[in-house]
Amino acid sequence: MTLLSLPMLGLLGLAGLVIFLYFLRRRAQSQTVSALFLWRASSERPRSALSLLWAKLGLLLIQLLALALIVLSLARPVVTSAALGGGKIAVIVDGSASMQTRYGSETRYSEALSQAERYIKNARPSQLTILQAQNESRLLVPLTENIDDALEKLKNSKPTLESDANARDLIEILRSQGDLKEYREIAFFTDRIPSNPVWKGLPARLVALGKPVQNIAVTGFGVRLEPNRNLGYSVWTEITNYSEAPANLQLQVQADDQIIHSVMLTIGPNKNTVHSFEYSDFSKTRFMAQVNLLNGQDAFPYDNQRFFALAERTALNVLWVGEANTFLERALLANARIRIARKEKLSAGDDTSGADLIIANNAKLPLVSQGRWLIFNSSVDQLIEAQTAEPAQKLSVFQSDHPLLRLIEPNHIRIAKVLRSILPKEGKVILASGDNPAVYALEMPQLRLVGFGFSLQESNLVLTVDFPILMKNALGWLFPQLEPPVPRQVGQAFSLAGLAHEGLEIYGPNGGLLTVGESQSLVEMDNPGFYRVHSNQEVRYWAVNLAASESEPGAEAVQEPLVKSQESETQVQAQLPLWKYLLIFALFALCWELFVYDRSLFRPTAGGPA
Amino acid sequence: MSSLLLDEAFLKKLANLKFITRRHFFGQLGGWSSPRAGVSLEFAEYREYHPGDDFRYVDWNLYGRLDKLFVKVFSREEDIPIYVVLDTSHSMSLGQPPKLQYATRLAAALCYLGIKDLNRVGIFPFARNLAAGVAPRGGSAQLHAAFNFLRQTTPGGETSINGALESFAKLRLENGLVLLVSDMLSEAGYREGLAHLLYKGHEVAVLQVLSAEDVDPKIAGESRLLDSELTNERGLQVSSSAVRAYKEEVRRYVVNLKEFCQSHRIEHALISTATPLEQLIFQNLRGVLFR
Repeated sequence: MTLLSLPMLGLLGLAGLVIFLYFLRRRAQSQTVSALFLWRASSERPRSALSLLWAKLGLLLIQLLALALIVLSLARPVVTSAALGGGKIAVIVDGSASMQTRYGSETRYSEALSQAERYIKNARPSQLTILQAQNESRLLVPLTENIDDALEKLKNSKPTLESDANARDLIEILRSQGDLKEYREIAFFTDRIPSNPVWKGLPARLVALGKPVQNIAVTGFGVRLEPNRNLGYSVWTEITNYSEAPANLQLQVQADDQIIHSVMLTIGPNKNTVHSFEYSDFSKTRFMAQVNLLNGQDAFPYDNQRFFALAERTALNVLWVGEANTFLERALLANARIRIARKEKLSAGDDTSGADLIIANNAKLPLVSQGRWLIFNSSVDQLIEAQTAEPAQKLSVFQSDHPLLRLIEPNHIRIAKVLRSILPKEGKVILASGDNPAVYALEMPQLRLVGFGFSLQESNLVLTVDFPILMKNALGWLFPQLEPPVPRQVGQAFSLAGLAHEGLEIYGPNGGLLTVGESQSLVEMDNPGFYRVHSNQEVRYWAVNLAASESEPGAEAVQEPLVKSQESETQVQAQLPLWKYLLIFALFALCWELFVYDRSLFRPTAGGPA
Repeated sequence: MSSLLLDEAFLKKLANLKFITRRHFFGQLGGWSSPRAGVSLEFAEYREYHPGDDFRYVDWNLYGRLDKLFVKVFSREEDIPIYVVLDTSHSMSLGQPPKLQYATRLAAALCYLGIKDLNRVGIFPFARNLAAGVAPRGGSAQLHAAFNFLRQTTPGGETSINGALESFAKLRLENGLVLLVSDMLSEAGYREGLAHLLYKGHEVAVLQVLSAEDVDPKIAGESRLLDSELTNERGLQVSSSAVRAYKEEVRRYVVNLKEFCQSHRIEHALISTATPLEQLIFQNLRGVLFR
């Protein structure tokens, strides 16, 4: 019990006044009666010492009790205890994919729900909020006093196939409903105890769920084009056995719904294996690896398949102006099917409309206003004024985050000379040698141009490992549709940038059409599989997979639920103010005092003789 | 005339009541039928004529038919001496309203009833001894005197019922109806006094007037009880059990008095000052003292 107004206890000094007044007043009442002899029998009854003491001091004791209760109530006592209930409580239930792990008929999520429900009923909060934690965490129940309704909503919630939640997102959602210090406790029911330090200093109760289960998973799957050999694809699959027992399994790989590979594998407990093979059919773009456990029941089957979608190898018509370069051709071939038409020189009146890409190497170009251009050691009239070449200086990076430099190490590039060039204001210098642009990009309406201000023959660039990658990046920037598919996970929001909204249609793995608003720039995908995207009369596929981390049993998985409670100084526990109860008792004591003082007031009046 | 004691309307109502007596008294001419033949308007019977009878009472019609002389005998109406013996001791001053105030109003009503029926009514106040009161007489002047006396009555003195009644019995009075109005609270008792009255041949009715405080005292806690008439006092811690014991003592005292009265053919009525006087006379005492 805590006294919020401790100085009020000083009023207990009034007890002295009460005692003084009591003994001052304590004189026998003189009462005249008609016949004293009738009272004789009353006084002859023997009385115990205790009753005599009570008769003399009873009133005083009651008065002192009433005073003590009143003073104590003025001191505003509160009982602080979690057992009393009350206060704000936040309950976070992990809704990530791993919570769908099954134990017989139960899932981790249903276990979390029952534990959370039991916790809420025991805690008896006055206000409750419930969050579901996954990659896109959401507020299941805003802060409410209607606990029954909140429990009903919690019961009706379903887990997702998304990855684990970001702790900072959860904290932000909680903070959006009030100061974190106001929470009596934040209970997080999860199969992975988060190690994020944001939980430190919060009144967090982290309840770990989970039991060891048998689980195999396709933890990695990729298909890579092998351009040099023109053989087709290398298909690479990583399978992990998260069980304590060896797993006999069958791996099947499908390409465009056709099984192209099947193999039986045995993987030791808590081991993984990589299986790869080559496939020569260029026409396939959608690949799926699937494993089936043959010796047992997989508790978490959602990670038994993984998807991969290749971008279509778009055929590009290339108009090559100037000198040929084998290294450049090879590098371009590795990334696209190109058909090259050569021309020594390009004049202002030449028709370039049939070319998807114009490559100029050591050439002088007329003014260009549209198309995709990749120029090396060349100038463009009225656009890129290139004069004489100067000895190059050490390359400096102007825009390290530009897509052209992705996975590129600029320090590897050595150049002998660089053109003295002046770029229009739309031009962006990416690498520079002194004041001269060495690598630059120009983006104007209907025009995209990547330029290199040095000769490939006077540079080591074509010999570096960065060159094919740099060309891939250049093609990717010039033709965004050639960008290799980024790995996509369930629950993540994907950008629709580069896709024309008119006629945009996205179909889910089950064939259902996703609704995409006109102003929508992101789309979220809730299930693993292939999403078919129709845009600008083109069809492409997005492969969406479960986060590989969801297959892991989790470092904190335990045999029995583990409760870790962290209490901080800022923890706000339930407080029960006692003053009103004390005042009621004081009032009761005063009534008692009045009753004892003049009990005849409460005695029914006798009817009297008639 | 009686504005302080009884109002006019109440007195009019009293006109319909009449005292009930258990036996006949031979008094003066009055409003009560006497077993003795006498002169009144009320015919009683015939009897044969004897020499010396008043010729005015011979029924000549009957003589015409039977050829024999008969005289008409009329009933005789006599009065009853009514003696209101009023306790004016100090104990009668207690209560709310004071018992004496209630008792004087009751006594006034009794006087009015008596005088209305042409009886002689006297008032005999007493405390330790019989005091000077109003000698028994009839007539409206007597009623005026009785009311005046009652209005001026003040409480005082110690109660001695036995002594006062013995003194009353020694008075040379005709036998009559003695209405003893008192709280009857006397440590010395009341039996000898009442026995004296009976021995003298009076018919006695005890109207015991008690206040609500007498029956159900509102005393609690440490108290010093003073006797209203004596100098005695007793310090007492009045607990609920003490009050219970007192009430039991009062009940036993009243029951003893009632049993004594019943065994000696004395009417006894226990009267609370909380009872309105009108209710007392027209309901509680009707059939007991009045008809």
